[in-house]
Amino acid sequence: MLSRRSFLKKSALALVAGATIPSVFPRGVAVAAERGSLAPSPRRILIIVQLKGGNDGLNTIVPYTDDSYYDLRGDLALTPDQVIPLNDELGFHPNLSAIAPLWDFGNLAIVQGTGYPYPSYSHFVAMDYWERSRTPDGVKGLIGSGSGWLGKYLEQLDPTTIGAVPAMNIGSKLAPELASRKVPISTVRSLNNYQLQKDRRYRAISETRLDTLHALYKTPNNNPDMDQLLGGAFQAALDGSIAVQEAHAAYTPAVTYPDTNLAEDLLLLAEGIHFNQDLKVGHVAIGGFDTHANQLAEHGVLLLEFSEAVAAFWADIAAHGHQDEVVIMTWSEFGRRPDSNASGGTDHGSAGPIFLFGNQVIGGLYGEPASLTNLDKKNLKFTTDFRSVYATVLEKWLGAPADDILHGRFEPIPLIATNT
Amino acid sequence: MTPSQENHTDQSAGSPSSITRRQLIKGATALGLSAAVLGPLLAACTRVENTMTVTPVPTFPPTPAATPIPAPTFAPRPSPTATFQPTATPAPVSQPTATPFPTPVPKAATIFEADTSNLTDRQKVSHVLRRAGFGYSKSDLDRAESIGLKATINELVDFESVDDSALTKRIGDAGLDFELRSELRRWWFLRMAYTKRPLPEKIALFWHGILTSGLTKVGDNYAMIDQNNLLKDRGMGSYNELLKEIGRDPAMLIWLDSRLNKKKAPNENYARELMELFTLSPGYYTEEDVRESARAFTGWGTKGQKDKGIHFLFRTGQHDNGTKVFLGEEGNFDGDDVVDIILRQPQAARFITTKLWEFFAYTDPEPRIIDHLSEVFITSDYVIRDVVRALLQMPDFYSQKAYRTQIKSPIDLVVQTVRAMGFDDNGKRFTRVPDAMGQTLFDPPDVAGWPGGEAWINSSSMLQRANFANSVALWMSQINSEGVSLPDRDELMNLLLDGVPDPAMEAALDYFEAETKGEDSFGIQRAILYLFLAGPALQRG
Repeated sequence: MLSRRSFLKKSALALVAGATIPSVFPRGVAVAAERGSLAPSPRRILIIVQLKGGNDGLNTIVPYTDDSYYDLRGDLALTPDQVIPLNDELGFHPNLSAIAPLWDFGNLAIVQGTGYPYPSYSHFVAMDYWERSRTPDGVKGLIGSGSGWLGKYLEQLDPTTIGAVPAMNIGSKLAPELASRKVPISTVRSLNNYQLQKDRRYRAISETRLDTLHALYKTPNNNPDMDQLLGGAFQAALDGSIAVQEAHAAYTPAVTYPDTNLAEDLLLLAEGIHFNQDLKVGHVAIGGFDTHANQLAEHGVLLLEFSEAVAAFWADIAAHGHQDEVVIMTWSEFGRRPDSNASGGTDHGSAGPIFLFGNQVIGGLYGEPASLTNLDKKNLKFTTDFRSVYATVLEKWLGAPADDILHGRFEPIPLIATNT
Repeated sequence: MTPSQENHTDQSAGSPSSITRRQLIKGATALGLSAAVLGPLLAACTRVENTMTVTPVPTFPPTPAATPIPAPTFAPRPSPTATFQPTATPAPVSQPTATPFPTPVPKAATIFEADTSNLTDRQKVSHVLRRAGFGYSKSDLDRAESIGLKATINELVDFESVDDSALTKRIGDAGLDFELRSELRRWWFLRMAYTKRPLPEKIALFWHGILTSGLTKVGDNYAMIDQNNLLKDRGMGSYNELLKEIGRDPAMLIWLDSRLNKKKAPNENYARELMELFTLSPGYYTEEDVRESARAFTGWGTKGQKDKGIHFLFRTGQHDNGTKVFLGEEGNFDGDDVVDIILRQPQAARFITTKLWEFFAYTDPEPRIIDHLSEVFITSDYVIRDVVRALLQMPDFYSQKAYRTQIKSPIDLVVQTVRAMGFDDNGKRFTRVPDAMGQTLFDPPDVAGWPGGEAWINSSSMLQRANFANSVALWMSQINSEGVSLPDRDELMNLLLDGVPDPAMEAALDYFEAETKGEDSFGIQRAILYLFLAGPALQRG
């Protein structure tokens, strides 16, 4: 097997980044220091990768020298020789090797122990908190409708210049973070289906038919809410389907993407990034992180799919010259409980890490890791509010008024190189 | 909870790529080449980029395309006002019915005593047939209008009196192969599309969104069939019994990991979702209640092998016989005790009656509606049928807030269209259609089922809804063969829009007919059918 170092030399990332091979390992922070003077990029795109089901933070970034970790995790613990060290306390899950080069180059920031007060252990309540950036009151979960935090970001942009496809959401339903009535969101489930069929036999009639249908969807019909919902979706469908199809036909990936769903979804975003000048936000999700049972195998497979897909995507967009225009952020509704259950898995927990990738990201570790000895009813106590991470990407990366969007002031983390 | 397969429901569990470094090195090699030609490549990309602007679809003449704010496009018609214009229909004929019509709670007046709805009789029966069933053919609707609302509701609710043998024959003739997952969907599709007893199927669909399980994790077609039968056969009965049954249901035991719930280290998945998603909702129990009730369910497991019959098995040795403190009560509780204790919480009745009202009527019901339905529910000892009967009789069910205000689920859209168009079909061509719109039966996106309502609508599902209309227009032409006329504009208006003038639709059709004057008349008919089915009005029901 290749050593990690020699793998790194051959990796796509080493080639495209055009940088020298790092002589110090790890050296995220050192690289970051050189980065402070990078020119601001004209486009700022945020790509969200959601890890659905509650990713096990402790087996993602492993405290491999902490005895408490081994006491709590037992058979589910990863051993020091398995992990890829980040420093002498923490290491990557071995299946994250594909993204390790991004860490080495200082392109990966890890915010540790993210969470919020009064954590919910319900997937849906917790997701709702993250998606709509709400403050739980500690008593009752409030799942509601309304715009998501990224929907609110899009809503405050100038509607006359926002364009037809400001956001691409890959999946069969709209990600609630992106929910907005005022902004067209393109939800792409599969490329083949993402087009409007015509009546091929009666072409002229079919054209008039489309004009009529389009106009019909713009005609108010006694129910402003429904008119807006249906009319907006139809317009987004019409514009988005043309844009996405044309981009796909014209795009040639610079790398071979892994044969996985996540990679396929990210490829659609790469196409959008390259051809769609209006794109501001992209969203993909990978499910299955709810590892109540058989965790070692299942979690490993998921992290492999995640890291390989992100590495390929990053290499591809870099090869197309967009490396300064994109920041990728991960999130998951909660981490998992430190002690394992009897089914070879872990139950719902609280705090976990957030990853941010990008050329403009100052790589390194941020925030404090959650303590394994000072627990709250068996669960981790968060150390960084997730909304500080949102504030960071909103204010420091997208240049948006974070306080308004997040309903309060959350201190940004200095992990973006430009636009201070 | 369970792996959420939102993006790709066909993703086979545990089979992502096995490629590791090899693949990446391959990519790197490929990139080495492209790096050498990166300059020209990027130049080429830039060239293409310049031509890649989004081409706006030509918009209807009166106004320029204005994205994303919808603007009035058709000249508003002067005549019909916001209220519906009743067509000249006879008053409902009240017929003596075989079964007496019980009014479980005296307080709230029924639609028969206080009709404040403003709907025509045809609108009322069409509404109840859409919501409590899967729509109607022209003859179904005409018949319902003639027997009246009361008799229509009685036939739906007291369905045992209705002969459904034609369905049994159709299912038998369908040649279903239950080894295939898609055949489970065809099986259920045929039942929904062709049963004369639609309410139990509708209730099964309701429960499938709540007491849900998914093939992706369960992995056993027969277990899913059993669960589906349970939801249909017991779904109108006692909620208490249904909850006790679902806790022993093999598909559920797999789906929420109950079978892994052992005395030594309880697995909380089932206990949590029982309270969060099936009975109470967050805020009505504590984390301690989750832990304690998980102990009560320890030992509820399965026996048997996949595809060879999986059954419930109580593993005494894995059951925790200790004392539990749960929702303020203390004792050596087992799973059935937990269900009984939960149902003693006032919130349990409010929770499920709200779910029922939202499924059948509209979201965010007024508290007085839930007060009434909860009372009916508790008085009837938790019988679902009594609540459904009561809600179908409430004047609020026929209010402007309820009438045609729901986004049709993909299943409703497809099955109602099949019924309206009178397709006599084996179901094969329809089975996969709802998948593309975001609803794959037997494979919910996660343990909370489908979010439903407005969440059905996004740009992707919008395209699929329009494309389904295109397919239906084509299939109808094939069935009717050339020269045979498709339903015309007035017939469609009467069938699909309850015969009530729809100014937007009328304006659109006037425009379309003017613009296509002189074109092939069959092509025009086909397009008119498409415009009805693909238009905004029929996305609501």
